[in-house]
Amino acid sequence: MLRVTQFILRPVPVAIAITAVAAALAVVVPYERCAWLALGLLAGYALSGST
Amino acid sequence: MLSASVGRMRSVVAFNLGLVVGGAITGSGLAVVAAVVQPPMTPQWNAILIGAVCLILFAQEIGLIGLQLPQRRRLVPITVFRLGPIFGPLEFGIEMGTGFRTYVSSVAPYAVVAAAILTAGSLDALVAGVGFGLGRAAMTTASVLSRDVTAWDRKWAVRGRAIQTGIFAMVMFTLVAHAQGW
Repeated sequence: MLRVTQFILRPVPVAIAITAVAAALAVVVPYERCAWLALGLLAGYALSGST
Repeated sequence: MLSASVGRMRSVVAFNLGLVVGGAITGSGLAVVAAVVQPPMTPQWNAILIGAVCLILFAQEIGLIGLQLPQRRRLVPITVFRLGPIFGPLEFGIEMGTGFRTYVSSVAPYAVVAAAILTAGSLDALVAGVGFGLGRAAMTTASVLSRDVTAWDRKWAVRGRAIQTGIFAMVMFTLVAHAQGW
């Protein structure tokens, strides 16, 4: 279980999940403001190495 | 052991909350800037301008050009935790959430900021800011829950550049898809 969790929570799988959520918000949800949420979400995750 | 883990999770929650608050602060600031400087343009011109910004930033992303984009070129000092295990991470989170605290290692935020200034309504910019905080919180949450933050950072060091390019491609796609509607 721990190994599965550690696998899912690596940077690449999380990036894929974030991108999928952003795509759903920006493309599937018929509400323009969700696209801005998606953009923010993507921009925020892209800075993961900046600490 | 358990109490240490709970304490750590409280700090992470406080940090994440700070990230969202910081993002909202930047989003609000962007809304004000957009309200003042936003040019009255047709949707077609919005799309052209945003497309041009994306092209320039994509050239920067893949190393074709070397623009000096504005950022704070400083690492975060350890003194940010002086306020204790809750308020220290909260303050640190707010500072990081604003996006003005340290290096900006991706061009994606610049594209979103440019699009927000050019086209966003006041609530749009705020929503983008909250999203920014949530995106940053995703990294913190994932790395802490993976139980090996050092390994997470090491993996980011290897894959981060490719992830950032992929994410920027998605940002460009979203901007181009929506620019004519804004």
